[in-house]
Amino acid sequence: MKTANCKNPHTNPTSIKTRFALRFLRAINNLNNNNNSTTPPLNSHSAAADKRKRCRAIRAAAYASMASAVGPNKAWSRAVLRKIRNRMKETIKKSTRAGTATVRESNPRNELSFGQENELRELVPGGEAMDFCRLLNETGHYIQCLRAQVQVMRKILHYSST
Amino acid sequence: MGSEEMGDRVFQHRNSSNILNCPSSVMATTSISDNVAGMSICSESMFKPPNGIDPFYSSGWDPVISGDQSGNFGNSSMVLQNEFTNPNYPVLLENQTMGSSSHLVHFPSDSGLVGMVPKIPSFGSGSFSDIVSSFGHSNFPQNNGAGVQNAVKNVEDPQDHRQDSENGVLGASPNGKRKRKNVEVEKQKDQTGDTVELQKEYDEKKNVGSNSRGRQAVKEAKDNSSGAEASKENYIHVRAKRGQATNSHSLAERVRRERISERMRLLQELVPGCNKITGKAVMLDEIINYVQSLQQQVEFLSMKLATVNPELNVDIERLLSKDILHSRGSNATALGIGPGLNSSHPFQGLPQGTLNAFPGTAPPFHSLPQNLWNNELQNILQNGFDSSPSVGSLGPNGLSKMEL
Repeated sequence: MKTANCKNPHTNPTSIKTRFALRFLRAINNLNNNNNSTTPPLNSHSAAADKRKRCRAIRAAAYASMASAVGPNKAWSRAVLRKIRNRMKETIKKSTRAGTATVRESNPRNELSFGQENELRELVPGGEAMDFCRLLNETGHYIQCLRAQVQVMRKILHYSST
Repeated sequence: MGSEEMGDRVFQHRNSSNILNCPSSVMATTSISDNVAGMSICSESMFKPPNGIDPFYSSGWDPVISGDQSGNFGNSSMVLQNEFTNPNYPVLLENQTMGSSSHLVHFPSDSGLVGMVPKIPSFGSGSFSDIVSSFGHSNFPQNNGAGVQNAVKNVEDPQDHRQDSENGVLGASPNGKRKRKNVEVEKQKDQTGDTVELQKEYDEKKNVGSNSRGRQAVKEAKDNSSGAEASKENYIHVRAKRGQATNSHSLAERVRRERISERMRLLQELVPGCNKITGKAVMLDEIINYVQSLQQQVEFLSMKLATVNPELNVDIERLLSKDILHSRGSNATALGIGPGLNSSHPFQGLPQGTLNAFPGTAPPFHSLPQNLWNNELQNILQNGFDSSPSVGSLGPNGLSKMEL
């Protein structure tokens, strides 16, 4: 694997946060604008459903914004963007969902026997098709970005609720 | 020996020629000259091709470059600028132990080598490409009978030729541009096959000592065994320490384990509260828990944002863009936010009410909160999130109490 890919501290955490914040806020604005155009439903049940839908939309927007802020340099961001694009294509084409072939590298030299590695692969996007060493790399970067994402979202929430 | 000189140049070529090199035994940071020196040792056994002779055996035995071209490569040193990504070249693991090195280098067949030629940008000399182009020729040129014989000998009887020159050649440090990521060590196979394997022995290299640089190369090789990973080299030069198994598989396994443990250490720093954990399984559990908790936080926050946000309008973006483009946002934009944020008051009854930390929450927004909001947003975007807001009683971690 690329040794140059060994984990470096976030080269510029501020810029990632900035980029993420920008994209995320834009996405939220888009969502809001789209939602405002539709009349709010009076039915409480559908309101709850709408709320859940909105929640999911915002969460998806958060992950998408972070992935696009990170760029295609990392495998996990590529996987996230790919998933989003596939989903968009599916909604547009209304075709059956094509399962993304996940290749699980069965490494006979696995040192972990408790399935932790598989768990980690499920958690980190795109983690199925890498070897363990690379998975650890991606996990490190993913953790950094998740942390930044959480911080930005908290701030946005903080200031939007006041 | 005059031939030795030639051999030096030859080996220099070999060092710089990624084509054949098995990046495997690259000494990560040794200079090419060191490898060249090392290689000079086996000059006798090395085939010294005459000008323009294709030194490659049809069996794929690598190596050599015509001495003619030596001048071109003499100083190029192992600067392997090649985008040499031939997967046929396994990494060669050096074995330092008592002479029983059984590290083999696989060379692809000539056809493969021919294919590799164009990928070597560092070899600008046309003559070299000419030489290389004659790779695939099965007929070994007979001009240099002696050299050929030597080479043939090497092919047929690799066990006798545990020359460091091979190491130097194959181990030519590919300066970071090779993309080989796998460390493969294979045992010796049939030489008549497509791949010819060579054995290397660093001990011999040391012993020969005809060239002090060779010794130096060996020493450097020792130092680089574990540091190789940190460098930009993609090849890892590993030595089995004293008393350790020198099995090729175990060496590769060791390299892999070292890599993994290094990554785990880095992860340990990332995950809070894992400083005292020793053990991969526990560490992995912590990592998994941490990632899950982060993802849950994202979910929670997005749910909150979903309930809070409908009234946020494009003013935010305007503010953002202005803040980002100009170091200090203007108050005008902040004012624009006021009316937008005012409408958020009805939502204060929601659980987020506890988050309201601004002093002026009840009354309509005055300029003060707006400026604070403006500044805080700037903080968000520009300064990173570690600085807690001056006004907010709830710091950035305020939510954590609520969430978990």
